[in-house]
Amino acid sequence: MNAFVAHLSYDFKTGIRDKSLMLMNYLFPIGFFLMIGAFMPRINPEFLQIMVPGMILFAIMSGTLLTIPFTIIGNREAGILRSFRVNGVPAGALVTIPIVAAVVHMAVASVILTVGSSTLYEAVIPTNWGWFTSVFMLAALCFATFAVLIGIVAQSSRSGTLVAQAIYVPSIMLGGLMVPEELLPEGLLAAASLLPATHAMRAFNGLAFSAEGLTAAAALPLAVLTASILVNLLLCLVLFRWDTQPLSRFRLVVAATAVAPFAVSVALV
Amino acid sequence: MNGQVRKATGECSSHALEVSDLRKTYGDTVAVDGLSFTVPRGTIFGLLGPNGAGKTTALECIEGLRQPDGGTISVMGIDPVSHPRRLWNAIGVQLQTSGLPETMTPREAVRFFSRYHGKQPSYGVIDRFGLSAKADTQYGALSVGQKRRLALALAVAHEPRLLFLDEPTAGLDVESRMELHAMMQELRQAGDTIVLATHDMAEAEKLCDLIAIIIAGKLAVVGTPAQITAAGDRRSRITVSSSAGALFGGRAGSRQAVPAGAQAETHSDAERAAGAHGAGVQAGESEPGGADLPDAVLTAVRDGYLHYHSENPARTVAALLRILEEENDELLDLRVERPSLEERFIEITRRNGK
Repeated sequence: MNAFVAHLSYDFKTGIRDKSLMLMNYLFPIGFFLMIGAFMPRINPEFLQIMVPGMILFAIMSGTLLTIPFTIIGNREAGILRSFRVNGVPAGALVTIPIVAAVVHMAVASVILTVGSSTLYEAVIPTNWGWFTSVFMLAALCFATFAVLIGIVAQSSRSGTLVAQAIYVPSIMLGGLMVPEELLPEGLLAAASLLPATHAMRAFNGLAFSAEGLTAAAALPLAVLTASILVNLLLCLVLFRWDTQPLSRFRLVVAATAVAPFAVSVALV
Repeated sequence: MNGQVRKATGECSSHALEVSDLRKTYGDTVAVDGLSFTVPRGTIFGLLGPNGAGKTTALECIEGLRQPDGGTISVMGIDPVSHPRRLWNAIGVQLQTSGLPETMTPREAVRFFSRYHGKQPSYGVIDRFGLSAKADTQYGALSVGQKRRLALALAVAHEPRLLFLDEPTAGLDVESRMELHAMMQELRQAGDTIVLATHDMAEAEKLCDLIAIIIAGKLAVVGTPAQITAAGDRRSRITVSSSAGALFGGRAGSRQAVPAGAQAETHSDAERAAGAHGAGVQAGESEPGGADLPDAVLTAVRDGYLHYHSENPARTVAALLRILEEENDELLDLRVERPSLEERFIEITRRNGK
């Protein structure tokens, strides 16, 4: 077992051992799913069309944005990252391993949510499982890389919370998770396009729950999510820091380029 | 490393660590200012200094965590700046502010770090450092002493020959401290070299073969604990108590008995007068309440004890024993002590304006 596998194995186990991580990875999204599934279809029967991707994205956002940044910030503040550094742990491992571990946790949670949605609430299930899996992977990677980037850039848990919530809350309201995008007021559509959740929902709906296959309209969200993952990963590796010394203003501006793929998509649409 | 920093040379040296003209600044603040010292292999080398003296910065440069602005560092023949990964496999480090994730167990930590050092996990260190019963307990549930022992175990798990320990016993109870001291001595006996940064002077005096005192980023003094203490105030402290108090009263034989536990009114003044530099009040000159002894300065009278500073302790002790003999008094307690490292440290830091 090499160092990467040993590290990944530990990181994955932490997601279950640590009560707060366990809560955000599994209990919170599954509890929310059970609650929302009990009344939402009665209010809006169309919700069953988007229940599977909506609940999966909710789980992905909770298991990434609400956990990963705080683990990184806490480890940095407690000197754990420095301890890792003098023992030869590379920055690349500290960037990639939380992402891989989060994707694995989210995959488990997504299986539970997909099976639960169809069996408990008779939600619409994907028509194309290949695209369903691919879009899930892209969405999970996109949010996980965003979460790691927030952990690297944020100076404290407080500022990390603000940035994470600035993505999390609007994504739930405008991302098409609860209400189909078509029902949003036109003025909010551009704002919604700045959110990764919106693109993930478009990709799910256009590819995994549609018989049309890969159209130009469906390819755009895939491209945006892919570009976002690559930009985020690059930023994480460039901006990674081992200690609490604040990032320079220039580096903060560089970090802000993470929104570029979404801003470009707004311009294109 | 920038152009000013020369590359370290020499793989095989009798020194585990060689630091020459090390410099590090943060903006306008000079943290380390031309620091030079060497650490012989197989020794415990103490790095002392007041807060903000530059110890931690110097150590971080040596450990490859910070880039120096100038100077040469050779750690087991390795340049920390150009070969940090090679360095981290060759040394063991216990940082002042470091920890492990709360959910990591000692067994996992040994596996985790050993893999990154490219070694097979050596779980024997868990037993060796008395943690076998806690091998599968999460880090967050370990006591402070157990955490410190684990930190030391992890620092040696990949079998480095040079260890850097930054205040390893801070915040520990006496028993845990003694345990860690024994472990460090064991490592030295096995031929390992330890660089120990500490604020605990007694610890440094007890463990270190060599000590360097850093003040304002510069090396103030380096030597063995005995050499450092001997280089300062040469007077010995003599503390004496007798049953009938023959030595009290300002001159020999006055027999003003002071019962044990009582405090003479004059002691605080005398102590203040003596101060750290031992200005002292000559016994008999201002009647502080003690016998006039040759080559000695009375510094305090407290709790039935007379405290002297003596330039010639043999002559002073002989004289006081003679007085007791002549006065038919019984000696209850007599202590002759050289100045401690702590006193010498205070003397050096005051002299350097800290």
